[in-house]
Amino acid sequence: MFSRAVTVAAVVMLALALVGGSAYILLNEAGEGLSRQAHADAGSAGHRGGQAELHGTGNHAGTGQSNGGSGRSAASSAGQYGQGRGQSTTSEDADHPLETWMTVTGKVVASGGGNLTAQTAEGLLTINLGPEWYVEGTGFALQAGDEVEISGFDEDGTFQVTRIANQTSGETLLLRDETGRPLWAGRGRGDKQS
Amino acid sequence: MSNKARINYILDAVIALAFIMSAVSGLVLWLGGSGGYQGGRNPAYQATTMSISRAAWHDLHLWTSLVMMAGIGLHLLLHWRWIVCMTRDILLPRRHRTREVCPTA
Repeated sequence: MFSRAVTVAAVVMLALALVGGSAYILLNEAGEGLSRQAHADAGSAGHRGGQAELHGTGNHAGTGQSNGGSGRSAASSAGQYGQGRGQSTTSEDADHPLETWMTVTGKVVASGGGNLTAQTAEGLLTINLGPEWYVEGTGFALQAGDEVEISGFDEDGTFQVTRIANQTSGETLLLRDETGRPLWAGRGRGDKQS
Repeated sequence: MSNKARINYILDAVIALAFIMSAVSGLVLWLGGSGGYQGGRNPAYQATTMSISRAAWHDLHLWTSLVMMAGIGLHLLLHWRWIVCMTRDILLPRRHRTREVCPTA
């Protein structure tokens, strides 16, 4: 009698687990789909709003390891970066909201070892793109004189690069996802795209 | 229909449903290209199949497979006496067998 009750309970639990678990996954997915859609719409609207004045007002004038500033960009580019796979991350719950990202343009002076020095309107900017093994592994090439557009955000006074576009070669290297998480931290491989 | 047969039927139905869902989601994952962000280079990064993202297919595949495994485990447990009896019947030489009738599956 007891074993029969246990068996019935186990079968019922399995049936509930199958139906309930699957329903939970699919309903959760439906909710995230709506969230993603709304985020994409907001992102594309922000992108259309223009990346007009996105230069940070940081203290990277001069030379050396200046590392960006604390400027706030006027527009986000969620539409450009897309959304995370299976994530419902929005700019609100990200560690580094897209609204805080900034973009600077300049000309490459030197690069190597995961570092880049570029001449910008504000002066010489030296930044670290990421671990050397990772940056070198992507095959992303930068030559002195190349025009680059660098996007990133300020983190504790350090400019963290999220994306760098070589406008001379047309290649783009993504270094962080839309939440600011480094791509070398385990979520996929950061490869160049043309 | 006896209670035992009813339980067996429901359990087998759960296993069958879990198997179908696991198989379908497995095929979607298999044929749906590789996943991952891949530094923005993966064109199928945000691709969906039947309006369901790859991540959800993955979760569905994992969950239904776990349910199927548990169901099969329970199925084997419920039929353990029959399995032992049939195995003995098949493997043991005829002269060593006792005249035993295996319980109905």
